[in-house]
Amino acid sequence: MTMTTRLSIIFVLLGVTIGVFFAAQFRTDVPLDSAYPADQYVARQNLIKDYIDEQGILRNQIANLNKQIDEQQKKNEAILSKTKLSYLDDLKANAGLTTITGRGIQVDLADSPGANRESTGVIPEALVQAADIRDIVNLLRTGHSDAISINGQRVLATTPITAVGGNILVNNSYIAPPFEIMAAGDENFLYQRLKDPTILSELKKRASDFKLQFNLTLKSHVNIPAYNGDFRLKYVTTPES
Amino acid sequence: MLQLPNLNPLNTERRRAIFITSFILGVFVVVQSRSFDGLTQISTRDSASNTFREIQVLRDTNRNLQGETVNLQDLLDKTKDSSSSLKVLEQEIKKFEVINGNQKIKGPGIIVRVPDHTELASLIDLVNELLNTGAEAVSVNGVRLIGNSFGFDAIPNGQVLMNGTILEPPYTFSAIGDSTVLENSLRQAGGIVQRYERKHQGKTLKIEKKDRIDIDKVQ
Repeated sequence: MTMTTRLSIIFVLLGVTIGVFFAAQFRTDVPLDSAYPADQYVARQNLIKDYIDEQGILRNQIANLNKQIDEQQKKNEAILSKTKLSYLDDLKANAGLTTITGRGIQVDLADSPGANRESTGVIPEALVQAADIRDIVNLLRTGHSDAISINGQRVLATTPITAVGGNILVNNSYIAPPFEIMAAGDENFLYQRLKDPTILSELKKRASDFKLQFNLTLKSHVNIPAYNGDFRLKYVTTPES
Repeated sequence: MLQLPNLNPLNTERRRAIFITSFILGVFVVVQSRSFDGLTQISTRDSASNTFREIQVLRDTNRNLQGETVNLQDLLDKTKDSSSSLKVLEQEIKKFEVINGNQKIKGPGIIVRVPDHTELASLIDLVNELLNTGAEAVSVNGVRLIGNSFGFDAIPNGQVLMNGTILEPPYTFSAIGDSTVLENSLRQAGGIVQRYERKHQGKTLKIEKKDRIDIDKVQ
């Protein structure tokens, strides 16, 4: 075989290899919905907006109904046991149905400047991910926070924090960047935990490398709103029931 | 015997072409590799999702919220009625005792076992996945997750601390909810089982459906 033939074979192999890499590159799943025609995209956005608007109305209704129930129970104090009413108030407070105020910390998170969640070309490292928020909430819990909220959504033990498409849901409610995580508790302790260089190291590296916004502010006053969603108890029962 | 190529201009052009082609190939290898690295580190901690799933989540959430408004309106009406207000109060107390972990609870569900020491992110993500797929109550190694009292913390010897309790592997997650939905969600393509196994070669999450799971009240 002559050198010319060999070179030709090498060229062919290289061409095929490059082709394979091209194909692999463009078949890589980008974790954002973006390959839809414009009309489908607009229809999707409108549908989502309708659901979100409806959700806002329903959550307000729930908050109002909870308030009315509390007020009505107070009016019934003459016929209901004060001890039981007080016990119920405590239980509701523990379940997250009251506003919590006090000292605490504010964690601000935002995508890299210029990063567009709807863009196909955006790299995941430049965006705040649901997992980042989960890790911070976990850390705030280990720091014995009294209450936590994310963009006004009260976080309970049963609160999922998930990614859907390019969006983040807390309590299955859409939250959009920038993300504001508030925690009531010992603000200095929480601050030290969050600042610990061995913790949240990946997020801190992305903040450094990709200009992801990650800022902490000690607060003398935080206001964590009451939970305004539903409590799922379809499958849970007590042994005697 | 191998013939040496002639050093004529045509061969020089070929060498240059090979060099450029190889260079481009190298760039693609790096770009492709980095692309997967990024996805592995961050994005793969959540399930791949699509528009259908997005709409489904919103629709189900709104349906649940609507159900809650109906329940609360009914509760308000009964609270206003003096003949039923005491009974309603007691029902409310029991409901919130269940929610807050003051009562022992039971129900159908699944048990998920994480076989070995694992990084905190996997534990955090697994709890989140269970809640996201409809678990109404979750416990880890018998400790129910309630309020903000829990959080997974790494301690120096590789153990996991949760609310003052050291958790030893295997980590056993008990989740009460629709066992079929819970299991299917975890096992779906791109779900947490697949992601866990991809990340931890040779290890797997063991899932067991149960007609009855008992979770103790919080001590």
